[in-house]
Amino acid sequence: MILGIETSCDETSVALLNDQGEVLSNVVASQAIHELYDGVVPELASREHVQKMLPVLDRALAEADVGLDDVDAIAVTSGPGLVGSLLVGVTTAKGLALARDLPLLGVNHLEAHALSPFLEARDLEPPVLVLVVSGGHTLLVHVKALGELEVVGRTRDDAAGEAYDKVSVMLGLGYPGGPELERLAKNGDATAFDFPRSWLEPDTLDFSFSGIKTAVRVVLDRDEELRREPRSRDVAASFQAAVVEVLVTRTLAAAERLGVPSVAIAGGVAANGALRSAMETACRETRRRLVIPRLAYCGDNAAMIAHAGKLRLDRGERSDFSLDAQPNLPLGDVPNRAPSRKKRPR
Amino acid sequence: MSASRSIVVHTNGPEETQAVGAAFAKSLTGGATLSLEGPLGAGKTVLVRGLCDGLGVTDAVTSPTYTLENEYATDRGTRVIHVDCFRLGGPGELEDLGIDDRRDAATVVVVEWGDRALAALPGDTIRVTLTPDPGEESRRRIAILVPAGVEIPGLGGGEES
Repeated sequence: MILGIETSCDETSVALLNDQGEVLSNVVASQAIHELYDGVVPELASREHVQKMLPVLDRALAEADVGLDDVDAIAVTSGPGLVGSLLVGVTTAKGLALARDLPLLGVNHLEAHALSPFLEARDLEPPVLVLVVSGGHTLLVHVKALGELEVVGRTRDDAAGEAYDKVSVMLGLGYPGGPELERLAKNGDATAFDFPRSWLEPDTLDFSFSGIKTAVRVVLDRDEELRREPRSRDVAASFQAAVVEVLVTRTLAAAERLGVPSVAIAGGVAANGALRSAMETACRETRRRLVIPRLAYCGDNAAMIAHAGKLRLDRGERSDFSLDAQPNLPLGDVPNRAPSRKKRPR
Repeated sequence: MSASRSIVVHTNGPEETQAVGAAFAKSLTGGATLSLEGPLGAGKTVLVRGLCDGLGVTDAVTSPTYTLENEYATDRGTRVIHVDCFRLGGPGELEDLGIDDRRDAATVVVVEWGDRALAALPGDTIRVTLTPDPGEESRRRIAILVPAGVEIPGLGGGEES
């Protein structure tokens, strides 16, 4: 049995995964305090993680109906993320591993997202093309094997979720407002405005969303009425159509170019209904299998960390106690296997 | 000691905005702090990309809104800390990021939405304001306000105030 810990951003989460790879519990405590501040406040975030860590751990053990004696290994997100938040998880994991003499596994948060479709669909086999899309990330990851991931495309400016959140601010929906914007878009005309689809160079698999954001601002500046309902619905729907079209087209182009039969979406924006249905249609038309993990595995959660940690453990890997928070850890860098980490003055 | 002065340029499109950033970077010395201000979609991240080009950053420059800060190494052994206050509630929260502890002669700090946390920025912060032209969507007015006492070598022209 492996215990996973995730504290890279807002969520404090602990999960338990048994030897068969089944999730026994996946407890996620969100930091509601952030809503008061319009975002993640680093110092508050780490303080909140400290307060929630042990209650969340206890609850995860209780829900799985196991004790710490049943745990055989500890997996923890060591990056990327906010350094103070990451440290709470890493320190807790090291404490548990040291006290109980258990193997410790540092996990790359982005790798865990990219592998989450394999947690959802146990029969899924690589190669798979995974679109990792969230408030902070937009990546196309080619999962060649469970331990071999390659980033084949990424955003050059804003993440897709960030574009959603910023346009929702322009429409007076607050921040973060991605889900609100999707709700507003439901009753709008997606053809009302022809927002630019940024395709960059013809051969790239990268994304760019900052141009769409600017185009929305230009349209709104021309006519203040567009910021209010009912006309804001058309802006929201047209914006969403542009973002979704770029995400789906790029993902399918990557799958086609790399000859990958299966596609998956991971990360918080995978909850977006318009993205899900457009990707379903595109995959049906090109006869590709599509896997979208359940919502509990899409947002930040510890089940995906335990899962990625278990895959590392099964390959005979482990981290040593020099494991540290790595706020800029790139996907592909496995925690604690890169000895040339840059030392920061503390 | 020089008086404060402002330099105003107009650009047409993101490429020109980026080029202004790259040109301005040549005049920056280590330890400088820049605050970039202007509405959503004004081109703040584009300008940062230009600044980073000019400072010798080879990594991709992306928006730090979600991560709150990105750090880039340059090919000259210096670094750029790229911060975003969009999600922060005020100066106290910028202080919590601990930028002050990491500011040194080999570091340029660029803060997007710095006007949201001005009290936490040093007195010699160079404020750069991007204003979209309401009549022409690709046009931007970029005003660079250099505070009194801050010497920027090689920076000529512009409007003196």
